[in-house]
This record gives sequence, C-alpha cells and structure tokens, in this order.
Amino acid sequence: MTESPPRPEDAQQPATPPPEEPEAPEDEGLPRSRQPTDRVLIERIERQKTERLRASREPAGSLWRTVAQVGTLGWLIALPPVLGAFLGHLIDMRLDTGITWAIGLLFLGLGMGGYFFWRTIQEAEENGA
Amino acid sequence: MSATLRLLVTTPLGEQVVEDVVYLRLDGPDGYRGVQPGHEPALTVVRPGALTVETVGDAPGESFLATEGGFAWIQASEVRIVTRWAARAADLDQLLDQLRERFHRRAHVERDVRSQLQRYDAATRRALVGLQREVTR
Repeated sequence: MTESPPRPEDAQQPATPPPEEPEAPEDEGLPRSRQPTDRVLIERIERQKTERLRASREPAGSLWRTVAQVGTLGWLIALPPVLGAFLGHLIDMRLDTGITWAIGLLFLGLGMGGYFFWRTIQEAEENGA
Repeated sequence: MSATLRLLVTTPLGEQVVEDVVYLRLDGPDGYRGVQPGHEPALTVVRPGALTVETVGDAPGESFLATEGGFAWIQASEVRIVTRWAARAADLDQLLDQLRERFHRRAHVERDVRSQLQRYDAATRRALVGLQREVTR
C-alpha cells in the first residue's frame, strides 16, 4: 500500500493557527487549563475559612445562653410577687388580717420583680449583650 | 469497635495519607457529613475542598486535607478517600498557600510545555509544506 501524499487541505490544516482562545483572566496566575478545578478548589476552601471564622466569632451556645437569660428574666418577674403573696397569706392567717398582707406583699413583689427586671436589662446592655 | 478510624487517601501516586483519626468531616453532594468510628458502611462523592480531620495521640488536634474531589468509602473502622490529588495542612491558610504555590509552579510548567508544543507545531508545518512542494514539483 502506497502512502498517499498529504492532500493540500491536510497540509493547510495545521498551517492555519488554531483560533486563539479568548484571553481568560489569569486568576491568581493559574494555568488556563487548570483554572476551573483550581478556582473551584480555592474558592471552596476560602469559603470554608470564612464559615469557620464566622462560627468562631459567634459565642458557643449563644442560643442556650439567650434561652437561659429569658428564663431568668421570667423567674425574676414571677417569683417575687408569688413569694410575696404566699408570705402575705401566711401572715394573714396567723394574724387574722384578711388579705391585707397578701395584697401588700404581692404588690411589693411586683415592684421588686419590675426592679430586678430593669436592673438585669441594664446589666445586659452594659455588657453589650 | 475501634475508637479510631484508619484514614487512607489514595491518589495516582499511591497511598499518601495513612493515619488514625477520631473524626472526619467531608463535603458530600448533600452537604457536610461527619464520620466517626463505627459509621455505617457508605460510599459517597467528595466535592473539591478541604476535609476536616481530628486526630488524637502524638499530634492531637484538627487538621485539613484538600482534595480535588473524589470518592469516600466509609466503613466502621476505615475511611478510604480516592482522589486525583490531596494535600495536608494544619490550618486552612497554610493549605491555601500550598495550593497557590503549587498552581503557580504548574503554570510555569504549562507555559513551557505550551511554547515547546508551538515550536513542534511550526516545525511540522514547515516540514509538511516542504514535502508538499517536493510532491507537486
């Protein structure tokens, strides 16, 4: 079998330079052929780094801390009037004074609860919470 | 059940990382997946990025393993990562530095190869044109 001479179009084919790829921005000096994989890899790791930074900035268990704080506030408001009313009721029973002491101490408890609430909020604001 | 997982990272260059870990977090197609000793057998795709590895023993702590993506074959006492390339570092900044340095190096190599190929291409073209002239003469 004789080898056919290269046809002119074959010879011409490589003579025309391949269309130049549009100059891709050489991000971070990466080789063009590697850019898709490399860019994805670097971007992902940078994102992971950002996520970790954000996570470390957020105080651990902040949700539970908030829940605990809200719970504490609730107790601060609710307990003094209840204790006051209970104590007042006991005193009323002992002294046979109707509901005078119970009402009095209930309102005192409400006042104290309000004061404790206000003070806690002030402290939290001062601590930047 | 073993208290650690044997981590094996297989690349075309062979097994690159073999060590005992207590926790491994990998980025799968459905999000992050934490793997501890005794994990049910599973096979999952690993997306390109960094795996978090927790070790105990001589060098306890967290480290990172970058891969170009691949597969993870999880078993109760072993995790085998099959990937084309992997790199290890103690923190993500180090890992990013390693990646950039490696890619810059490869950029140079690729540029050299490309210019060499262009020279070969030009020589081939010259030879073909000469041959065509001889044939048509």
